[in-house]
Amino acid sequence: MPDVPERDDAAELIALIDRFERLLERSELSELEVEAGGTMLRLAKPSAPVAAAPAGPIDPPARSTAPAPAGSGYHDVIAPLTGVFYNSPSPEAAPYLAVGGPVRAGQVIGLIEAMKLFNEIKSDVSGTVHRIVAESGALVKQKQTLVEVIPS
Amino acid sequence: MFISRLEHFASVDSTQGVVREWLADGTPPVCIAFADEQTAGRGRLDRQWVAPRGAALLVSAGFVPENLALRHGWRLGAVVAMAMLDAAEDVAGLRDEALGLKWPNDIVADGPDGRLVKVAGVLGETVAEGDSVATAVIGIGINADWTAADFPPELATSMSSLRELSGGRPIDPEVLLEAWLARLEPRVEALGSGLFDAASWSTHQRTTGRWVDIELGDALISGLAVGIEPESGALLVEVDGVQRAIDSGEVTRCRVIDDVGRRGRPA
Repeated sequence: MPDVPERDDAAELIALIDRFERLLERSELSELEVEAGGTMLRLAKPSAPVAAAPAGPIDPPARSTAPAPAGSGYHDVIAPLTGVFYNSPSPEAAPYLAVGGPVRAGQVIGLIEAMKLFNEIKSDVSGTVHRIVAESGALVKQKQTLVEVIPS
Repeated sequence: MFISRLEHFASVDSTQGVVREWLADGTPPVCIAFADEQTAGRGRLDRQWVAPRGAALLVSAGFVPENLALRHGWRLGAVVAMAMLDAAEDVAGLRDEALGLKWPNDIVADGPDGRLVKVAGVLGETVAEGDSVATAVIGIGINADWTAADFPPELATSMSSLRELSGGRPIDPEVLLEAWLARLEPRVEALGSGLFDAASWSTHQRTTGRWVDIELGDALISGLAVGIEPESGALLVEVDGVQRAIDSGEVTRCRVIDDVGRRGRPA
């Protein structure tokens, strides 16, 4: 089969994240940060203020996915299961949410696909969307922040 | 009554959409819509499902599970597929184990060149409430009376139908539907009691022992499928000597070991 370097890299990265996640779970550390080449990986236990960060060049940072610091007033809508996140009902459809737009409790904020089952995930709070943390088409882990909401 | 509502459509946009609306309107479970033709049938990520009218049984079932954890929602798809696999073998007069599953729940048969050919696809959607499944719609499309002459040329080597597998025996989709419902009821009732036959589901997996490519979001993973993790349903894949549990994504290629050798990746 033809090589697809970007995809192979992504697959290796996901495997690496899994390995570090297990290492972190077994340790007493609250956070684990690894730098190699142009890639930085930062993992934190759910109680810590940093969630799994996607890989990207360190300089310039591709995107920060760290949730708001404690006490910032943002509410994190959390992934209830591990799977691939989608921010719209189909590739052609408009996204469920817009940054700066309203969201209400019970509103669908995205889909998580696992085992070929597309699960509609709802917000558990009403307010304004501060940031959409999860990237559409990317793997999200259970308990990872999907969206930050400024509660109303 | 196991079935609260059962409706047949000669042609419909999507049986999934019909059942989704029924559930939203308060229709009790289990509600079933089936069609001879779908004009906007949805495959995974809105890939079109196109079958000539009457060639496939296209059916969606709506569930309102009382106590099904979100992490176990996939089991509804598994029981829908297993019930259809059993029904299809009986209705088409196939030998036991003529059909199997491509992880997680596509129904497949052995093709003439040792590859797997797809006979049915399963797709599901749920509405989550916290960590539980509030409602679920599981759709299955099975190539029933579809003759090989009518297969789309681009899919002809990767698909089959019950009619072809049975040597040309006509397959009545409604007979297949009845056989499926009879086999679905005990499985759904068992699931409601927390019972799932993971062993049977696992032994039917034809993916196991083959080299697979899996599209996982934007990533592609290649490795040797070595089994199933029964609690999560995850596919266990050995990638460069490390075993990974894959519980999302689509198996896009599935090759027999003899084609690629047991060590190292295929060329």
